[in-house]
Amino acid sequence: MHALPLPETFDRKAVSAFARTLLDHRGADAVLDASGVQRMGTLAVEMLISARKQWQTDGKTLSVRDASEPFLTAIEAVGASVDHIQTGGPA
Amino acid sequence: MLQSISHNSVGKSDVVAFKLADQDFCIDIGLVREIRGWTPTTMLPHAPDYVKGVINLRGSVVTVVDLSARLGFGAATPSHRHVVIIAMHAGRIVGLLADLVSDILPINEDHIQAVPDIASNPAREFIVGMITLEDGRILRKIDLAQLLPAAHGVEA
Amino acid sequence: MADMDEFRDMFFVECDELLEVLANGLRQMEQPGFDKETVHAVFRAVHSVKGGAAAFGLTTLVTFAHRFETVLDLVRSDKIEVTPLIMGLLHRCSDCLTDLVGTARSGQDPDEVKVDGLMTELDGLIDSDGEEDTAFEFTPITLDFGAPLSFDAPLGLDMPTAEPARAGLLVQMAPGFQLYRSGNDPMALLASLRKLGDCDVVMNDESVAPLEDWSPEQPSLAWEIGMPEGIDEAAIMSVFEFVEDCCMLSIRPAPAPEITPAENEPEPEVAAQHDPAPAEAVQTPPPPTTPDEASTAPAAGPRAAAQSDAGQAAPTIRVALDRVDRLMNMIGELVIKEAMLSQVIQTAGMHEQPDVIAGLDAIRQLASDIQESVMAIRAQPLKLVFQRMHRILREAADATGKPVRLITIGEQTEVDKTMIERLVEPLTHMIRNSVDHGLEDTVTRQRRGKPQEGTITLSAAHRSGRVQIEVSDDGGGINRAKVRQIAEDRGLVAPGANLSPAEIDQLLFLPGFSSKDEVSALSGRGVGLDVVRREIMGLGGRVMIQSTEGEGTTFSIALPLTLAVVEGMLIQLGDQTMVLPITAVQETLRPESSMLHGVGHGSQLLSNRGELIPIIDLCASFGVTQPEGGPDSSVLIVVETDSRKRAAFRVDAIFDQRQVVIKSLEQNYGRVPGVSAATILGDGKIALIIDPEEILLSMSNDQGRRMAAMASNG
Repeated sequence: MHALPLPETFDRKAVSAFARTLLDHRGADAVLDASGVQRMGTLAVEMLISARKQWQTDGKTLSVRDASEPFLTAIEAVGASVDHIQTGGPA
Repeated sequence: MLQSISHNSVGKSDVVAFKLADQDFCIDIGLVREIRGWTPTTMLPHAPDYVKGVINLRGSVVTVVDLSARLGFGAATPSHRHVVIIAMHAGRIVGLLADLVSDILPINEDHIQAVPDIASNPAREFIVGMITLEDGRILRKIDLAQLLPAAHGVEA
Repeated sequence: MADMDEFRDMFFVECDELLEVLANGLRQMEQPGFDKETVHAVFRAVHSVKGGAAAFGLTTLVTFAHRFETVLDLVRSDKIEVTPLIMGLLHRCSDCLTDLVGTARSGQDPDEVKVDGLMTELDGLIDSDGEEDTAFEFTPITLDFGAPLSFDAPLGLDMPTAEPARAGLLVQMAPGFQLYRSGNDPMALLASLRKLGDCDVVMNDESVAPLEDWSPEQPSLAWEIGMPEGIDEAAIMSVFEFVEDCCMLSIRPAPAPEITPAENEPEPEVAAQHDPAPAEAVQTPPPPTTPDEASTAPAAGPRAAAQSDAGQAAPTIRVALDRVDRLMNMIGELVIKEAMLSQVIQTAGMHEQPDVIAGLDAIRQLASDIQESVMAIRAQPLKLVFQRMHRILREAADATGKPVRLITIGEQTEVDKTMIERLVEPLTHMIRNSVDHGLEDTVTRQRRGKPQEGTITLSAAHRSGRVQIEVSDDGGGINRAKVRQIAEDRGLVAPGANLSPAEIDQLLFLPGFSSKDEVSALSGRGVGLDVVRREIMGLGGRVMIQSTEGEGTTFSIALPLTLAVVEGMLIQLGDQTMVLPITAVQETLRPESSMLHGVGHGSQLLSNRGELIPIIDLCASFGVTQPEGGPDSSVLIVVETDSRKRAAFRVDAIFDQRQVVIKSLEQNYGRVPGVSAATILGDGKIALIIDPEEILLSMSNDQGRRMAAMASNG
């Protein structure tokens, strides 16, 4: 399956654009490629959480692959885990 | 019993007489609101075949019943000459499609006779009585309650 | 005679208001430190009901109200202490008074047994007061409801058993958009807090909306940070120094429910005076969906509410509803006539004369303004329904023995009056369902580390042209494996069918589904959520479920603002014009033949951006005869329903999009499958309004048969 690369600088500006991109892929299973993320803010985490809820409501799966170190650090910094972003997890 | 407008003398009432397939029918005038010319209807999906559809009567949605089809004469092909009798029954407004309205007549209720047994005629169950007029014509009085489609969809 | 009847009617209308004041007041009396004025207001309400009832010779009502009033008077003069036990009795008396007014209005016989039982209890209070003023232990009164538990719980164990009491401070923060926009990030704040000491960060993503509704301008993540012992408030505040005006912030010594806006002076006195546990009327509003809700919600404490009740003397007139309805109908006519006029002008070739166009536009604008104003007259706050839910909840809690509290948010949200009335039934059912099926029993809750008392939140808000009402519980969430099993057992779904979690949740709405093993006395009376769904659909709304295992379930209802008009797409089917509500429409397209795939005989699928969507031929569904042309010249409209089902409707043409006035079909005819209502077009003809949900539902219920039927029709 084709994976969507997350922006390298995933800040407030990138969030809106990526939200639109994501919505275009709604209704189908999706994979997010987090390997290129160098910097990520809280709003980006929130958007991904929101996306997970959407995918869950739609009954589709959303997963993250190749999470970069900065990506994981950001997620943990706000008290979240990758399960907040991927569907099918226990959270 | 159908409710009718009370008149001066007891036992008398007016009826609206109309024709269908060369037979004379009537209904209580108290039920009739107005008589209109035919206008094309909007079809109702899944409706019984005698329901022609709905028309706009000053902002209300009114069902039009094809009396001819209902009484077993076969579906009417309505034209400009056809009429729609707008009647009110049990709080619902309904339009009755007829060939033409012939008269408004006073009748003496004593003159209404029971319908003789006519085996398996679809019209039989909708006719509550027969009235013989002085000129020898016979008016068949229609029972609206039997004629109208039941209000469906009103589930508990 | 007629005059007397009129007075009687007025009395009952007044009673409704008085009973509302009563119920309201009693709830406020449960708040710690309630205003004495509240007790006076409660007393006066009962007294006024008694006075009116006496004038109409309603003896039972008078007798009961008198006892009730006497006890309230004792409460007022501090002769009876307000204990949870007493409050329970007062609530039940208030409910009983409401019932008595109801039976008096409809001329039915009151439930004598219940009335007598309560009177005995009231008498017990009155007598014992006369005999010994010292004894405020009214334990001899046997209260027959099986669960004084609901009151014991908050008093007995005032600390949530799950978390050992921590000595450190608890910080709650919910950053607003301003915080992000000013270049700050909660991540940095959290990092600073962590620098102060080893803290415990819990993120709350409950209010984050699914992506389609999410906006970066309304950030919804919130955090609870448990600070270690020894970190003082000043140190914490210094972290928030520059952001405190754009972040909801609260710093408390113990786990406390509220988040207070930082600009409000923290009020430790208020928090310290009472146990933190007793139910708060307004509690942790999830970071608000609308800004105005945000500012009002935390402020509307018991006192503020009492004042607004007292100050409800805004000048009003009482107008019979049918007058407003008549006005509404006439405006509907006006809108139709305006459409007719513009059509006539078009045919007469005058549509290019500027002054004609300007005049027509002005009329159109005026008509829509008037329509809006009248709709505003009919609009009423949801408070009217929400308040009734307190009683429903109380009764449900008693019946199940589960301690529950109800939090209402956004009571002031206004909807059409008709909708208010028709929401009572579905909401009642949903509240009962949440108590009965949503919340776990006390033991399970304890094991899961949740507070014993369950919480049900009833909230309302305006959201992009619709009204959104949510009923959420903090229960165990939907047990999907079990739901699936039940559905399979009842033959509602094929064994082993490949279902997504969302699809399994939808099974709850199937007729004949009841998720409890045994039929419960409360919500298992053969009515299921399918009824709720049908009623909401009857109001032009949709119901959605969201559930997280172990955390709870949320039912959301989205309702149109009005029942009077709908935005629709005018479509052509054979010689018929029909209206498709725009809310369901996703996109319209003229498919290339490569996008169409036959499946078996007669049915077709549309492949659109990788998704396969079943095609429904509306002509066939409605039995409309198609003249010629065939499917080649047709247009497909992709629709999506609240159950997230998609289909493509095949129609002959689309020719307009406009607001249409909704006319009832049921009034003079009855329900038509696949049709929700009718409307009148500019040419005076009637057009039916399609109910896409129902069409899709009937398709999936018996897809095979339906498809076959379509094939033979077409």
